[in-house]
Amino acid sequence: METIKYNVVGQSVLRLDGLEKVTGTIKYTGDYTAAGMLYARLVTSDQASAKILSIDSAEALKVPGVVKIYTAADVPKVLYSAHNWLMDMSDLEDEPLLTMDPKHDGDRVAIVVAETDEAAITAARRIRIDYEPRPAVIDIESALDESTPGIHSYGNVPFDTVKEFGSFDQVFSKAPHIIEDTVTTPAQHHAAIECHVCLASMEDGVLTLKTPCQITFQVQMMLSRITGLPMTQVRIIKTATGGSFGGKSQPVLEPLCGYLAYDLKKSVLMTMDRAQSIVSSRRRNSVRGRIRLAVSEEGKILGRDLDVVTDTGAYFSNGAAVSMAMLKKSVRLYKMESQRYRARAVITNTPVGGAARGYGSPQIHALTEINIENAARVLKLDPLDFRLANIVSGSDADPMGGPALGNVQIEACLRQGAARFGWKEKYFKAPGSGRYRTGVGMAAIVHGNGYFGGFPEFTAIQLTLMPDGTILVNSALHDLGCGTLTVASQIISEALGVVLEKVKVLEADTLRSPYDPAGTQACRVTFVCGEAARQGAEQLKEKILKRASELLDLPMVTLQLKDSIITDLSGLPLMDLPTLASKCHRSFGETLCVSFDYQASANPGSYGANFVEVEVDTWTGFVQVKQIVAAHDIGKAINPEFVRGQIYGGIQMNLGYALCEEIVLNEDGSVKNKSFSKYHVINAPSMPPVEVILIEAGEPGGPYGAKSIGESSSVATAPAVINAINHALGTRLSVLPATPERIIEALSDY
Amino acid sequence: MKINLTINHENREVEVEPLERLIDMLRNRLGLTSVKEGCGEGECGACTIIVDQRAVTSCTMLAVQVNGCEVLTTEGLQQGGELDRLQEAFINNGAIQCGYCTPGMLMSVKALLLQRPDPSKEEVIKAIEGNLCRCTGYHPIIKAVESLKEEAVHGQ
Repeated sequence: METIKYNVVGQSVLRLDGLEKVTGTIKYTGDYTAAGMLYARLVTSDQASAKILSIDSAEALKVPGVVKIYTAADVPKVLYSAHNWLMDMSDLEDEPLLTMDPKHDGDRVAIVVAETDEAAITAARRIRIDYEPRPAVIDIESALDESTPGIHSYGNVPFDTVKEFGSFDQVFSKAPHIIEDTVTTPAQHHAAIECHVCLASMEDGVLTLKTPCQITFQVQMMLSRITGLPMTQVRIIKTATGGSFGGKSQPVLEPLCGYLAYDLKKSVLMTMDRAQSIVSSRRRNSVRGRIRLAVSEEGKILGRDLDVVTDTGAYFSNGAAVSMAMLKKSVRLYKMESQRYRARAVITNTPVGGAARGYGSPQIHALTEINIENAARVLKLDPLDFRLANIVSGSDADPMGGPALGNVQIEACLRQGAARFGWKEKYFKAPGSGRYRTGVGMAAIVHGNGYFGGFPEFTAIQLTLMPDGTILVNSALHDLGCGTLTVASQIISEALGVVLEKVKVLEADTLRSPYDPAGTQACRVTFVCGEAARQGAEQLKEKILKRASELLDLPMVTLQLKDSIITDLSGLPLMDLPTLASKCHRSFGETLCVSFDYQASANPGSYGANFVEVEVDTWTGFVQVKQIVAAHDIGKAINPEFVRGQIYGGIQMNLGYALCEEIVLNEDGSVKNKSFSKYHVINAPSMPPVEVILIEAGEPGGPYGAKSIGESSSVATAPAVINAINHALGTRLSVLPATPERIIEALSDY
Repeated sequence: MKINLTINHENREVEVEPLERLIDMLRNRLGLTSVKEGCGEGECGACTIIVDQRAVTSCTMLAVQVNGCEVLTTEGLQQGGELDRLQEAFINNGAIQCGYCTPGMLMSVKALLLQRPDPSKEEVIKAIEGNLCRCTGYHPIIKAVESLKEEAVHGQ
């Protein structure tokens, strides 16, 4: 790619909300207060599977300040899918607002509304629920067993599909080597430090919610259905988000909190505590997958057989969607003649699965990349060379007919990452034979850029030149903390020729923003919304220069807009933007603005590779990660520091996935670790040194060549860590997370 | 009951309940909403404040325990309208993403700097071991604190 000199694109400009955040003045949802505001707290089931015989609220109602207690009888009898974000999406609708038939530890049974949060919490504790326990289905094996009674009327295996390309039987019948693994991935808690929270109120007949969500228009659609209010009377305002990672993508509190405000005609602030955020919101779908890899004598991958079972928890949620997302990611990294992919989603009496950063990528790549590394070991090939010999290039097509792979840079990721890491020397070094063993592992991954090829992928953006020369940008963006608004401002500043500080990008507000039902998910923001912003800004620049040319009586080609000033080509200032805006008002009766609808027409892969060195204590099973090199194909870094920030954070999350993060069940299906003292996320001392390599080769279709990083950064670490542990110990550990107990167990097997 | 304390350099008398948590007093009675709750058990560090020069988690303390104490929250870091150097360093080094853990992080580091103006990298890491961050992977936060040292070396 030719090197183009940009003004603000490619610069690590500082985040626009840094000052508010560092002074503590920024308002998160829980920081708002309103006159007469009420507080709501959930009462959740502590049984994994039960029928509720009775709920005794008498003692709770005696708590001073309690306003109302809701149970299933007091809320609309709707069943919804928190996954569906378009009116005509039809994934199974099986989730009630509140239930008398709890299907998992944490299922929603009642809500207490009170004048103070303390009263709501106290009253919630005093509600007595009489359960008739039922046997709980807590593992994939039982769910698959046809003799197990169905948790829902539709049974425990509501999704079962096979997708295949090539001559599968032929490939497998002649394959000289078939390397088989079964890999299990855990239910992971998103662990945003801000627990789920929502503020709802009725304002002049408009149901208004403030929520740190990812898809405001989906929340609007759901509440319109639940309350019967037209969508024009349901206003969802995206508030500052204290982390989401997919956890706040599916509406969880919003349907309930919105209904409370609608019913009570009062402002209601509803908050989850950490335990509820762990068990009553969503969690990463856990997966068990059998992988069979067919390889030729020369080390060429011939085909793959994947049998993946996704545990989607007590409600169907995204069981089908995440299964299909995993398929997509499994065919865009290595060339092969054939692949059979069987996917089943099962229902269990466990916390509900849902969107989680990577959306299937951490799961499927844990399966395939552990298997790829094992295959290399079995065949006595260097895992790096084995991968290099089989990876796709940009000229390869998606074998399932998906969108073009784009400017694929996986080879650069592998080669540059390996060189920086010193792969060859480290891989062929003996792991040692004493108490401490060292090992190295790697993994390659691919992730997408939005919905093109799967779902409608469109967005809209409005840009207005205000009389003072500032640019007001209206779109349905949701900044989850990654710096989305700053990046959008950089793109607009660059494309328009307006100084960064003069660009103001608003966040989603369903009554004011242009309709965009897909929200901020699926890594569509930079690639899709960013390109919409770039093209919209180009259009506004065109309008500005056209009017300037008429007003100055100079040919348009002799004018440019730079640093918010209209100049001639030599840079001589001719007119500033406030003057132009005023003259347009007087001379043309016109405000210079653009309303731009954009449809994406590409969905390339964002590729990446991680290289990891570990030291394993064979006495305790404790793993210390010594070093990580992360190389990522990101097209172009609009803001390199933000990109590195995504990579560090993605590694932190995926490292926990590899070593310690797992929602653990007791035998009765209740959750063992509903707190941060028992659910361990990686803290500062456990975070290894990370070296980042950015491959910036430009991606056509993305703004200035940029593509996604938020999710692809959170995928490659876990399989690389497991591979490194297996390299150190000579084991074939394949259950994540690799806790000390599991490592000791794996060692005793060898 | 009434307690007396110095909060962000100001003497205050506050009416509190005997079993009221410190975090609730700070947020609800004093409007100091930089103090965040993330776990309610002192594990995530989002509610960290400084009491008598030491970092504590305000969700595991009662309001009455700060009677007669000197309390600092992120709101009190700025003096004379100027940002503390530590706040500047957080902004300039990408130490902030979603920002929810930021006030607690700042407090943990500030407490360290009050005790040890020139801490080693290991001491910085140790100081924030009780502060969870899901966004940044900690490196930019550590870098931000390290940058203060470089500033000192360059006499800025």
